[in-house]
Amino acid sequence: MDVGRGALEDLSDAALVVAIGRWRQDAMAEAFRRHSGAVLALARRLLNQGPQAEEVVQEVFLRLWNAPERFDAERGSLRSFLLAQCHSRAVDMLRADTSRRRREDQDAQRDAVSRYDLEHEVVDVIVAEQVRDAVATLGPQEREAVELAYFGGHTYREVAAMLGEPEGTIKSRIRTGMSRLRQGLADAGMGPA
Amino acid sequence: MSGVFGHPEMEGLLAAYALDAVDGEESEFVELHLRECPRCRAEVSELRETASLLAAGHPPAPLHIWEEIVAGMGEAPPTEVLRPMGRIVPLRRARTVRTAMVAVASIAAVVIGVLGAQVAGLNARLDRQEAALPERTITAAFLAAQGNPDARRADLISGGGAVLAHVVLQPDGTGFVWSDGLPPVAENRTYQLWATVGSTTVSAGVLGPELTVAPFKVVGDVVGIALTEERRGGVVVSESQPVATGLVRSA
Repeated sequence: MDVGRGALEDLSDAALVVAIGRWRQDAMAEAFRRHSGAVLALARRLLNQGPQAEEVVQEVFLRLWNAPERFDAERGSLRSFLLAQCHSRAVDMLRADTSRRRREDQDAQRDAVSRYDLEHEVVDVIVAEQVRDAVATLGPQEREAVELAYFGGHTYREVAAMLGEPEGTIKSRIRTGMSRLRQGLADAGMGPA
Repeated sequence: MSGVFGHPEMEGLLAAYALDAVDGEESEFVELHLRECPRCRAEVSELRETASLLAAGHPPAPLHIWEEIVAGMGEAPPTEVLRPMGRIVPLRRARTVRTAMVAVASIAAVVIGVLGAQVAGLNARLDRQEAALPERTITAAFLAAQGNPDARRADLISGGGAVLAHVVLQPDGTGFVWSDGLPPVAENRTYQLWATVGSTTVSAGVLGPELTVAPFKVVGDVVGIALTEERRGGVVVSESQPVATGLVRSA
């Protein structure tokens, strides 16, 4: 299969990755256009506005360039693949930086609810609305646990310590919260059922 | 092996794991479990898909980040991450293997059979393979093979039932084996791939001590694939129990 330059915008993500496997820089550019915003936003959410967030974006996309075969379209979308890598890398950075970590834990304990706000992560109006509806199906405690884990980069044990709750309770809230989110987004026609 | 965790406990951890909220030994237990449990692997994929929707809808990142990426691409053009076959043993005629390698494919619990091993022109195969892939990288060929609707596939499964590697085999005989979780063997050892064609088994490639993705070519109707660990350089006749085996499924 060969890919003409003009057709790049019409390619599926999976086909785009095939083109990237052929060292097509224009295919990389298209992947960057589609997904870099979400990757950067997540990195910044976890690492704040510093240079580390941009470094993570670069790492994630260069990894795609160097090892595109690690993406398996049967396992999920390219965006979730890139975001999972971004999240994992950003969390590694956070956990390696213990002094920063302690500082942020204190901040998080102070304003755990106001600092993390799922809906405001989404700028696209339509998607935001669907995500907002799905998030609204979460109880406040489930929502807090998911937010602190995903956007705060905390382990469930840390979340439990921050909130003064048993670890099993937090684990359960994350599970229930993610399950409700998935169902809510599926009901809105987004994501897996 | 899921260590101290039973399946229910593991299921309770998956959502936190999908959000990178599990660390240390617990994370390792989850990863071990995921290698063996396709249902939980699918669950984690779906949870990550859900999480990704929370970060949707942003405009592209600033141009200077793209420029940094391009600079990185230029300074370090992608090396071939796909491991070509390792040291190739000399051409030999086929000969019957003396040792039975009982290969259990967990799905059907089918014994692949007594392996008759031959190393049939591996150097020549490599040359043909590379000649057959002009102007495109092995990486691209691998991705194309994955997307080939006529390709046949096999999951290579350990005796304990863990899926350790995968194979995609195209109608022209070119194929790829890959793994993202198989631990590397010692430097003086190697993985070796075997293909059962009809009633005999041929060596399909010496893969080196670390298996990421490797191409191979086997002529004939391949019904089974086996992966063994051998001494560095590979062997003509394997006396090893397979690390994993699998039956090749129809396209």
